[in-house]
Amino acid sequence: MLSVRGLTKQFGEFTAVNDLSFNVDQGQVYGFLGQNGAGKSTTIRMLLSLIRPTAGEINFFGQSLFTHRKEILSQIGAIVEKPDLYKYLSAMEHLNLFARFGGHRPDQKKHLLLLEKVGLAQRAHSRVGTYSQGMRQRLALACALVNDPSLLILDEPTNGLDPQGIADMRQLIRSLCKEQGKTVLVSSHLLSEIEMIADRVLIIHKGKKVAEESMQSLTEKAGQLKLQALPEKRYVLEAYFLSLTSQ
Amino acid sequence: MFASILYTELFKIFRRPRTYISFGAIAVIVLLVQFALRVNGTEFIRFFTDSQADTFEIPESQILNGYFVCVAILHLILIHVPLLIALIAGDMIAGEAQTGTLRMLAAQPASRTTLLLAKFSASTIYVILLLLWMALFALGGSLLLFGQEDLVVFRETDLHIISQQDVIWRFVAAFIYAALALTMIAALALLLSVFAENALGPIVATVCIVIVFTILQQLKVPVFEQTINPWSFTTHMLGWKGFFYVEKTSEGVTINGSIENPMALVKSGAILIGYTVLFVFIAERVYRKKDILC
Amino acid sequence: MLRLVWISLFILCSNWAISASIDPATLLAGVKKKYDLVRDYTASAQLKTNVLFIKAPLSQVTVYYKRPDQLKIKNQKGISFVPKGTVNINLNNVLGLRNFEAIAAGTALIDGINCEIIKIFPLNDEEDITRATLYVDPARLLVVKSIISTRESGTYQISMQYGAYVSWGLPDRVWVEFNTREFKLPKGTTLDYNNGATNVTTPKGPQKGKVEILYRSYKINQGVSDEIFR
Repeated sequence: MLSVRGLTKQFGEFTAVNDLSFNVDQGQVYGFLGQNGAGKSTTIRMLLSLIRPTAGEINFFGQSLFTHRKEILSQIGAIVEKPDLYKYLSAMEHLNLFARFGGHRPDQKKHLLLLEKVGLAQRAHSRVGTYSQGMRQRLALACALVNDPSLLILDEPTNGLDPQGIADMRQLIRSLCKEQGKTVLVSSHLLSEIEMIADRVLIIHKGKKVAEESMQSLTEKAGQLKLQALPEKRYVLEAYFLSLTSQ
Repeated sequence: MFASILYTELFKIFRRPRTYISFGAIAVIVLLVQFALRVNGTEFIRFFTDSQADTFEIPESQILNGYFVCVAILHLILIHVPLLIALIAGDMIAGEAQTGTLRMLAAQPASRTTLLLAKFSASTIYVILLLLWMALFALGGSLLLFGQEDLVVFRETDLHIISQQDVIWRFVAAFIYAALALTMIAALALLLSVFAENALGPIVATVCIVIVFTILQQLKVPVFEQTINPWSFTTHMLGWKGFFYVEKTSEGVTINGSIENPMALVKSGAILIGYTVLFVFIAERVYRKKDILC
Repeated sequence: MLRLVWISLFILCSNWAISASIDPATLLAGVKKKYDLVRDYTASAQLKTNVLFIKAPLSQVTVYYKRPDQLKIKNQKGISFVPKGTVNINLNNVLGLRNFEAIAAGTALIDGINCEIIKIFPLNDEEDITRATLYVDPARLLVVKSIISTRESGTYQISMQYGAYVSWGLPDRVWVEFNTREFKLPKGTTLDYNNGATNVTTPKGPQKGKVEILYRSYKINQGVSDEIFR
């Protein structure tokens, strides 16, 4: 599905992403982890052609992003960082807009079903300016799904959601993957959430890959490590993550 | 794809309340000018004709007619309307960057070139609609309020009287030319917008550029007249007035349907088109390669 | 040869004798009597303005006249800049002077017509007209040309051509030549478009302007309301 080779991005003297390579297989939930400033958002932006890589290759569905951008992006839905939307438009109008961006005609019925799925059907025609952060997050997900993409790239999708919202989001991501066969790349700071949904995890630190494992393998490795006893209870994965990224 | 993106851009423009502020502002400004001329129009005309009052019978009440008022209002095109154009066009990229919607937009399948050209086209359609609105109030409203007569156009060293039968097509041509001039302003604002992440910067910068070049042009300082003014776009933005300068025979009689030096208008129009193409081209080149970090 | 010299001398002396014998006051009285045949008229005419700084179309105008000195030129369908002299200064103002001195000042050939030159000096200091020179066709008792100087409106030269209405003393064509002031507005007030045409150097200072009125038809002595002249 997605193959990244030697991806590098330099901003002047500063190297934000350094020779990053990874693969995302079809039908997977792929977790993307790293501390603040590790290069996650920069990598995601490069995957979405928002930023030009200094070096490296990005291939989706066997095609290069640099030569088949339109075809590739028409199969991707994304949320990049905090989802900023048009405050003066309603949820339904957003979906109509995104449908047109993807080259499709707006389908009111289909859009209403989608809004129901993300829990916004009751507020379909209210202006986004009146929405809470959690509602905007859900609308952003609906916008990412409106053109039925085969790959979803979600940057911090549970930001601003209450516990029920987080659980719903988790459930939705699982069903998108398992029931609809979509591939999901999720970037998150909530290790517990990644632990619960990801099939495979990439950990980056200071722009470099430090681990790329299946979740099962990562958990096993974490369990094998002799970690210092900590005063508070910590998740094993969190402890392993911190040990990898503190170097 | 282009048509879809254009539709969405127009949809966004006309769903925003600030767009209607522009239309409202035009209506208010035009009405204010009409009111002022209704009250003090005769004094206004005397300012132009005072030096000849001893020699000629000046038909002031006839000169103050709908066509004259419309020409007076069209002078707004130079400073005031560009501000309203910059308000929309300058917001096209920088405004989206500021609100964070640009990254969402740029991650869509449509190429950046298509997106930029769609935004520019939407700005152009906005310009045309704004001018049509202005024409409705400025020409239609003025004719209703002040009636119809021959048009007298004053220049620094002469005046032109145009028969009322020969006037309407000139206004149509002037408005079309004004649309060209304001489209160039939209292109300039769009270009500046590509470099900024805050909409205020391009808007202010566009208006400042227009003001500075207008001042340079009106000062008529020889060094500027020879170097900057012939190529300054504000010089050529005034080309709409050229449709109201008529030719006369050796006996001093105006020739109906004529334009004084039409080639100058063609040249000015070509320069405006050239600037528009240049600004859009540079904007496209820069935007295509720009890293979207906002 | 000698005979030729005598004949030439005879002709010269005859002309001198004839002109010396013309009484300007009598001639003027005859002209006035002819012009007084017209109490009023309404004429449709075409007005052509030839002034350096005015570009104006041919105007269809209506000229109203009512004795003794009311004259109005109205453009029914458009705008005309009519020189004040054309309205304020007409022959009837001159012919209607009460207190004046008239001097014969020779003859002149104008458009093939041998005209008597009569110079008129009003004796009343309150008159607007300061002096007038009339070129009169003595045979038809018509003024062919006049140069009239006024206190208020400057000097006007008015030339007339007669045709269908000659019996009434009404011209077919009138040319009015007058001094104009320079037309120059302050820089920046008009926001001119520089189309290169204005680069042509316009002469500075006062110039001469010309207006031509081509009369198509007259309605004579059929009454003209005073309202028109207000």
